[in-house]
Amino acid sequence: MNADLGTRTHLEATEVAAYLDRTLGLAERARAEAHLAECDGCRREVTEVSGLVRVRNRARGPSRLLVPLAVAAALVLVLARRDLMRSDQPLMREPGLVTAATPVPIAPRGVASSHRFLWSAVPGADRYRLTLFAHDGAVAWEVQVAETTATLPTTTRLVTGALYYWKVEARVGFQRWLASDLTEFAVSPSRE
Amino acid sequence: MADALPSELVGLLNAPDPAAREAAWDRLVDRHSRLLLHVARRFGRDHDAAMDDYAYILEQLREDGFRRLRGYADDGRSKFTTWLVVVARRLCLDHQRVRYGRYSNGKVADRAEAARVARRRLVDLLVENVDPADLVAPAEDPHEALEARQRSEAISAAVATLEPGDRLLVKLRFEDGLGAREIAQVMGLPTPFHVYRRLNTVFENLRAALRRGGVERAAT
Repeated sequence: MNADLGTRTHLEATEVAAYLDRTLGLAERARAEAHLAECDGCRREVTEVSGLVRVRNRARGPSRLLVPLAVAAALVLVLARRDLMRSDQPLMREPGLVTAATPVPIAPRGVASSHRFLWSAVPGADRYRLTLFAHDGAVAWEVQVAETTATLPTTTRLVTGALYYWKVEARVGFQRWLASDLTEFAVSPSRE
Repeated sequence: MADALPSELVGLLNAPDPAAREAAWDRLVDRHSRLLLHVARRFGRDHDAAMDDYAYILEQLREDGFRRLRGYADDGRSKFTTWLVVVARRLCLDHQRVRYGRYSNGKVADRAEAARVARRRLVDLLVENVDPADLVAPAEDPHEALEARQRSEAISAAVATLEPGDRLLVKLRFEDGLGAREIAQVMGLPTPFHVYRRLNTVFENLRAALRRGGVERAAT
């Protein structure tokens, strides 16, 4: 750990990387977080690097879902690239970043009186799974539908004023779901 | 714990002669070029600038007998690729600074305004019946202005008593405006839901601290 943290110098590159990789000990992590809470520059660095690493990991894809055809295709690409690398010119290609649209929760958000859930469609999705969480993390309701809307059954009662969280996942392939962000809402006294 | 050192790095740092070192360097570049290009494109103003940054990164990694790479090997707590992204980003910023002056994405003024908005939102969540305008605009009534300033100071003092992780959480959410998913990624929380739950706990602690400090309108 940088011995000068008390005088507000910045985290070392190894410390930033170890923080993001969760390999710092408890005391080191606490010192790093104390510094990050006060240092805009280091906090910006940690946030940006986290984003860069996340996009890179998403581009690499879930290896557990590789099928033989995809493995063969990857081998072909590697062999072709090796051939190209034998040339004198360095090869610099656009990285094959893959971004997929995730469903976007539309309602309810904030303070809501309606218990109808609505979200955006995802191209290619044949099914959606909605999960509603209570404030303590317990699953209050879960349903799968083919459309982009679902209505809470009257048998599931929500507490007025309490906070709830919900997310929706879109099925876009075999055992492949794309999840939305968690969305928060509180129940207003009147219900539609 | 971090993985063992990557073989291409071991081969480079332990190369017996210059030819072997160059071959090992080529392997390392081959393996990590996409990552470095990805970082360079993030900061490059255009394709040529990104390529310049990429070349600068490679040049700096070689500098002084691969001093930076040896520094990673000596530490070894993190994944090599994570460390490489950190270093590549820093080198891009250094390069931009040398070429164009201090790096700016033109958002300094926006960040200052975002920070003001974020602080108002934190106050909104902690204290009832507070008009956010009171916090940023000079109030007509000196008494109200004094109250607003005292409230703001009380909140800052209460935030300062939080555990480091909770202070960081508040800063990421209310100063930097990050969403729950991003915060979960940065802080290593399992899901965005855990971010919300931890924030709720922090709010409860802050409200209690404000009430102890005599802020009568702290939300219960």
